[in-house]
Amino acid sequence: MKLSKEQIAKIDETLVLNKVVYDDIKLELTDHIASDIEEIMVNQEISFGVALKEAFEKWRLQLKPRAAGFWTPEKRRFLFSERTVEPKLIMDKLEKISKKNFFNIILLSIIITSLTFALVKMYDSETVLNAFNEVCKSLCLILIALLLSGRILMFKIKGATTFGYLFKTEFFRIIWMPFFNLFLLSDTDFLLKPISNKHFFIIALFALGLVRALLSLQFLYKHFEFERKLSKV
Amino acid sequence: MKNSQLYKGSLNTIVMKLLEENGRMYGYEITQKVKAMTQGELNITEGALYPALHKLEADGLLDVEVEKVDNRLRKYYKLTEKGTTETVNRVAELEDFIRNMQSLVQPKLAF
Repeated sequence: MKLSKEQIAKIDETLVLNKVVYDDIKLELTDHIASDIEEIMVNQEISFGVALKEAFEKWRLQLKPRAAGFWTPEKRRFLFSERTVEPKLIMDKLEKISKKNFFNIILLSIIITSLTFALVKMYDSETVLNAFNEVCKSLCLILIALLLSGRILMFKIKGATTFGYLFKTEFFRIIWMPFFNLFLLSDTDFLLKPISNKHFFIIALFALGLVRALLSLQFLYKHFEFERKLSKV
Repeated sequence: MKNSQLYKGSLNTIVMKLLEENGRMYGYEITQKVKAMTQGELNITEGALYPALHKLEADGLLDVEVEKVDNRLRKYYKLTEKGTTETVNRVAELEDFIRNMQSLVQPKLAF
């Protein structure tokens, strides 16, 4: 027995009431619960309303509100504002992606910092280092353009995904980073300075900003990729 | 199966193996397939299945396709190229594990 459009809309509505608002999660939960209801209605010969309650009961634990933990970027702007709360299933997904992203940022930042130092040591030539400086400047400008246009597009195109949430919450924390890097690169001697602890720290900060902004673009890509798949259906 | 802890560590491999055999599947279909194959002995709960699918997707082992079926949208999961290679390794690991468990639980007698 297949459910009608109105019955599917009721499942959707119940999910939204339980704060499941992201398309990537909501559509698979709607389908799962609808399939379960169809089976319950046939096996137990009960009405849609009763079957709906029975099907949702199985999701009670996964839909329970859970506050953001250490790894999850939050919507709140101030430290003492209320913590972001999402259903457990969503918060778990956000946490897993954020944790993986954090370790990728650290790893890539270490690699870029080491490579920059190796370059500075190996090619002690002004021409090579100035060329490298120019490449970094262009990369920062491209990053700024992509981040800003991505954020504007998200305003214009409706639709919410967990990846969109991650990009939005990251955006205000990272948008200044490529600008800071451009400021560092405006000093033409930035890469030519003698190697010291202070210089190492600045290059590490430069690499961290670059990688963090670069990796946030993957959230943007995944968000639009999913929305594109949805729009094709 | 009463002790679900026993299969929790193998859940990802079970899902990947099913996807390797069936091409693409949706969440509810996976739970029903496992139930049918084990005559109801193994019941993958919603709380275990979706976090596992989301993790495999985040690791780049699964890809998703969306289709309209029976008045609703359905999200199908399928293995990526990386996922197909990884499935072979993980299934081999699981088989080794089962073999070792068998020799521990039912040791062969020496004659």
